[in-house]
Amino acid sequence: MADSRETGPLDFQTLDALLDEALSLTETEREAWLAALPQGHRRQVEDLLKRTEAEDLAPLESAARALSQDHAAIVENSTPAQPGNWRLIRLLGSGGMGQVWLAVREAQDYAQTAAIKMLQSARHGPDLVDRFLRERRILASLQHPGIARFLDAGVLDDGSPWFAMDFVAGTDLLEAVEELSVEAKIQLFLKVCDAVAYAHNRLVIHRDIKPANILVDEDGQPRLLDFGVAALLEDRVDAFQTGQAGSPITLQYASPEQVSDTEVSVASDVYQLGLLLFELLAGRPPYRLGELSLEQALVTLTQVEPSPPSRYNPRIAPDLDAIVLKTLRKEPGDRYQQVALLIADLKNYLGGYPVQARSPSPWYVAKRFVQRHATLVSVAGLFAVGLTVATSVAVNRAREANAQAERSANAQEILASVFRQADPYREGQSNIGLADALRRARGSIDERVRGDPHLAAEVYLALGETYAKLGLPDEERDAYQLAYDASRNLPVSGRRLYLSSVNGLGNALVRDDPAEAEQFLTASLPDRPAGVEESQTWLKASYARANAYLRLRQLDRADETVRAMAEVAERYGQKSPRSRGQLSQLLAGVADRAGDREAADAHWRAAVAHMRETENPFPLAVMLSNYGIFLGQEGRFDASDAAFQESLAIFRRHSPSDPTHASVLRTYSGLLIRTARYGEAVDRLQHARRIVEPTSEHYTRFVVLVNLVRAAFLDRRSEATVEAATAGLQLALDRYGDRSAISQRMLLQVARLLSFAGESRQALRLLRPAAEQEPVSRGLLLELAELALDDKQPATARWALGELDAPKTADHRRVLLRTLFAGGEPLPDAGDYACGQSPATYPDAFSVALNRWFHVLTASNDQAIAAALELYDHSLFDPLDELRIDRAIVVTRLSWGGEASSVEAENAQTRAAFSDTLRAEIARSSLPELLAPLLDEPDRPLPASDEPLRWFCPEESLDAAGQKSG
Amino acid sequence: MSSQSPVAPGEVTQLLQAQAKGGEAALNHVVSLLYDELKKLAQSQLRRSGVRSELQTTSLVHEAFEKLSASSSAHFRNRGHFFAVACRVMRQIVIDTWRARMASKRGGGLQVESLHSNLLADLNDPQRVLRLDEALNQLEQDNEELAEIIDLSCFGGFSSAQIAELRGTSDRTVQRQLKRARAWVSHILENA
Repeated sequence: MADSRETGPLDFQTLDALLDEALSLTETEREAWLAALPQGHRRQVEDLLKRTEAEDLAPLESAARALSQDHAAIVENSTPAQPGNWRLIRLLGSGGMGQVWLAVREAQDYAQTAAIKMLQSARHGPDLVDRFLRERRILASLQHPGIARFLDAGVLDDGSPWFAMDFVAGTDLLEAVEELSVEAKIQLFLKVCDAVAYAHNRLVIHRDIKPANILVDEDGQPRLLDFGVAALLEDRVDAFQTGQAGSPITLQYASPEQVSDTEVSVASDVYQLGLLLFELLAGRPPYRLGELSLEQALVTLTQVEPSPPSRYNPRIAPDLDAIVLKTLRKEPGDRYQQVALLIADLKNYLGGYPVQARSPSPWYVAKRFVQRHATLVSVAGLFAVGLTVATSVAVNRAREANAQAERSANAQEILASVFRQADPYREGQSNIGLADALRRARGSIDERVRGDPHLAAEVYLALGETYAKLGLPDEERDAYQLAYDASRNLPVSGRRLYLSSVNGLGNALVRDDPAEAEQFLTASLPDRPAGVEESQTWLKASYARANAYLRLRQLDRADETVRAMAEVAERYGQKSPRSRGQLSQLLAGVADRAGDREAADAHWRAAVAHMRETENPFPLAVMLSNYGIFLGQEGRFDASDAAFQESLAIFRRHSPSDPTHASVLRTYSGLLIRTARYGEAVDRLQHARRIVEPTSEHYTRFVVLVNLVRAAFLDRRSEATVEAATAGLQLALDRYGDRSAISQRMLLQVARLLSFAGESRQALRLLRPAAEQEPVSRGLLLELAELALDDKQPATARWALGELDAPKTADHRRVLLRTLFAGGEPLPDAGDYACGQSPATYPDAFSVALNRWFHVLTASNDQAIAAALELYDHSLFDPLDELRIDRAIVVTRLSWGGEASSVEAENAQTRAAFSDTLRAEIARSSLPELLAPLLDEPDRPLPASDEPLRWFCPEESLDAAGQKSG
Repeated sequence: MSSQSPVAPGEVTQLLQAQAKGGEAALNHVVSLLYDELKKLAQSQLRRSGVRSELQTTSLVHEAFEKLSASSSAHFRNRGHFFAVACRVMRQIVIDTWRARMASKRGGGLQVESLHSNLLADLNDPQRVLRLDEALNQLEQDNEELAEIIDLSCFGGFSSAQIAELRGTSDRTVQRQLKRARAWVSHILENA
């Protein structure tokens, strides 16, 4: 019967089933049933059967009973009188202020639970009941997930007040954050802030924000307890000062104004939030007042500045330090004025944006910008393709930087980003000009690089580049000078920096002072580059040197330099088609300057041919565009058109949404305008606008809009003209402010529109404030002078011209002559004037044109226009004109001259009609609204100037001319 | 529905199912609805211990009530399950309190509130309670049903008839289950 295989220990399920079966049988049945089981099984079942009445569970049962009795005993010993309809259930805690009870109120269909605070009765005045009744409705209306709802309040028979609020089952805030990251702590803290901000909007101040008053529920939602309760209780201050509230520990979470006589406002809650944030971040409160005497505690609280939280937790960033310390200012007015602002700043921090607590520091702002767009900036650095020689220099430099140590690359990126984006500020947040920002940042930049000449050279080089882009030649030159000073004594490792500085300073000097540039470059630029790695920079610096010789009309030396460059190019430039192309471009520039058009053309063609061999299609596209510009200047419009078309085809095919595509379209529109294809120009510019509109290429968008105003105007499309002007002005004001050189370019366009629409006076009022600011562009002063002359205000024109150095452009000379003429001042002899400086400086054609202009001044209007056109055309090739921002203004001006040629075909009636349409369109648009705050007082006199106008450059020629004319 | 009238079992089960789909509000509502039953449950518990007081009754219930309200993640299948969990929570309260007492007795420096001075004062072997808890936990692994019935009986003070009603079975079945459970606890304790 006994089967050995069946007698082992049974598993739980089988044995339990057997046990169950045994229990379902009567005693007699069970006997028989057991006997039938295998021996081993039977033993196991019988063992369990014996245990079915075991008393093992008794201890548990008695423990449960005891627990009930314990509760009962406590409840019976300490239950106070019943508050309202609430039944007290269990003591949750007690402290100096009173007890907290869990309570239940039996409502209509279910039981409502609450935490009830019973306050000690002694020190509450008789009006407390009234106040409770008055306030409780307001407090009960606070409904926010972060606030434990205020349910009820009242006063017991013995006069002690109580109030009921939502019972929150949760964890203590400080406990809840223990494992959290800094960011998660801030996120949790922001929820607390939300709740406080919500209450503030309903005019309820908490007054007692502290960790003990915040519980975090299971969903991670912090709930603020006791909202508005402190305000219900009078005499808190007395309590502190008399020590009634116990030890000064109660002061631990008080704000300075709570212990002084000052009015307590939302700023007090901001302060307490700051204490909370401090403790969350630092793991301890800023002060440990409990260790001090009451007097010491009060002094600490009201006078001792807290250390930053990073002192206790090194992972706290300076931005967070700044935010916390701003909330903890002793003076309420120095803190965030609203919780919403604290929230915004914390979100700034989390999002990588500049925090308000640390502004204003443009360097810092730029740094945050770079951190936020680290990828974007470096990508921009890799793909930036320059349109001109000047920008290809920048590109090469950026590329060199990539190969350099991380430290210097980082430093350079900071500044490079400043100019690439031309706006390091938060989108739509600030309209402070970049130039302004840099000016203010200079102190900290200087500070940052002190003692590290490598870094200094790198940063000042980038700064020089930035200033060049901003059209601030003086600052540019100074920055390059600093770069040069920093790099001149560097060891061999700094040779790249040294040569780049020489290049930058040389190119900066050559514009204003070729003699000094020549001297400097001769002294500092080696005769030949030391190797291929510096040949590029050397060539660029040599370009400045050749340029200086050209300016000084030392054509032999210029030629010598160009030959040396060709030789160096030959020797080092063989490696890549791209660098050979760039060298050819340099040689083309030199030849162009030397007036050797054919050689220049040959170099340009070589440059294009080299680029055709590169894998990357973009250098070719850019080179074609540059060649197109050259051809356009040559008057070879068809060839220019073909070059542009080819360039544009490359962009269309490979990268239609590339911002450089937009730049080429814009450049091409210049050619279209010059060839009177205005409608086409408008189309191209609209295309360019669509490309850059969604990008952060604000500067390109701006320049496109400048050209669009012009093209649409010439195409006689009033609506498109005014729309572009409005958009451009808005962009300029948003991005660059009303004082920057960049914005002045759009102000100029708008002024011209106003002037054409018969609003010369308004145009004048628009330009005058800008003219009195620094920096001011020469173009703007000249336009102002012209407008003043149109408005018969020669004194203003004189003042504007007095702000300028002696004329260097034909445009300037023309306005000067007009001003002299209008003022009845003696005119210089045309020939003398043209040749007074140095006959060799000017091509004969210029003298001829100038003579004609003089003629015009006393002759008929038609002749004036014809002569003016010739002057315009001529000044396009003015060898002294630099390709810079103000050059763009001159070009713009010239294109308006182009307008004159179309005007020839247009009768006066049509012209007047368009003037009217334009005026009406402006009136209909939002342009006047934009302009209103920019306009000068109508009749404010400008400072008068009796200084004789400077006609000639350099100074000694002026004296000679003065004697002649005087 | 007044606080005196019993809660219709179907209604509670419906609400519990709603709560299972996720809703703290629903749970709170359920706990509120069952308040009176919990109270009765505690009353029967206290009656057995010889104490009679409204406040005493609600005291233990509310500790359980509190824990249940806080556990928004707990899902109940039906009314019977709810009470099973409620009683298990009561077991936890007893055990946690006991553990804390043990810890403070060992001189760990932990200042435990002297809320439960009577608790287990008459027990000879302080470790026994903890071993019992472990045994119940193991039984739960082997047969969750049996462990539940012990909790209902021992901590909820439910009679076998009440348990049968909660679980929708017969009184006889519950009595048999109680015997089995006691047998297994005894067996586990001895073989531990």
